[in-house]
Amino acid sequence: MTKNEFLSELRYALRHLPQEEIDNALNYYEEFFHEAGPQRERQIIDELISPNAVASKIIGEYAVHDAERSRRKKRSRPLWIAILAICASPVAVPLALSGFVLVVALFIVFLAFGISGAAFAVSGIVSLYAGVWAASASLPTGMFYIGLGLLAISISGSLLAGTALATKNTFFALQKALGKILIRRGAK
Amino acid sequence: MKFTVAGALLDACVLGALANAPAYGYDLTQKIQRTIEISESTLYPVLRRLLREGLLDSYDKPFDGRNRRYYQITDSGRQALRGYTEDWQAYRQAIENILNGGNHSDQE
Repeated sequence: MTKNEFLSELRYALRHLPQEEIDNALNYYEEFFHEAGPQRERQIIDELISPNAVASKIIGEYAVHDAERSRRKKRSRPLWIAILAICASPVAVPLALSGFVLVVALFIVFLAFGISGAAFAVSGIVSLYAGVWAASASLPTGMFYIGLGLLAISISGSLLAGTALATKNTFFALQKALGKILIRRGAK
Repeated sequence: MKFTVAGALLDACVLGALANAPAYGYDLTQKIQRTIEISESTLYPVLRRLLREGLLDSYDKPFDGRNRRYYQITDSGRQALRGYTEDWQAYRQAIENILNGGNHSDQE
């Protein structure tokens, strides 16, 4: 990575901060590289680790300052800045990826339950219909199938209701947990 | 050096490094790195914070066709540095006590 690539990636990583903050930071590091001289350029880029690493420190400091400044106002802005702080940090990508995969797996499980719930409903209705139709020929047989059908339908009802409830609660719990993690990281 | 200088201690060191004369970013980093190990990316957020808190001022001075941004300590900054220096004495003593097994509490 060259100095110019580093600086433009840094500018990009800081893009959600106020323009004054971005310009101050870029001026500082441009000057820094210039003072160090072209021979030290490689070494400094290594010591800075990455544009995202540098950006996350700057964003983190800004988030704390902004959070303290707007303590009485809505908390949504510092939260956004904290989200950006995490996104700018080097651990962000693997962390987000594994979190995302976990959430997808969870919802696939819910989907599977939902589908089996629906399957129970369908077979229940079919059995019910068959029972009613068979009852005209043989009452015991018909009653058997009607009973089976009702059982299947009630199972499906519980499955579908339970799945819907679990999905909704998991979704809201995730939102809350994510919010807490980000607030804590933003304050660091 | 095994010990990480961060947080309040780092703030104190930056104020101390600027106590006698203003300095620009690169120069200040070099000066501080002669004493403690910090990464190049550590200093800038600290400078921003001290500026926001009014403990430092900054001004631009043209040099070689460019603008160098200098950082200087303010009166509040000097006051804070005095406070940090007192805190440090107590802290240093406490650490030395523990390192010495707690047997030399009235040394020196």
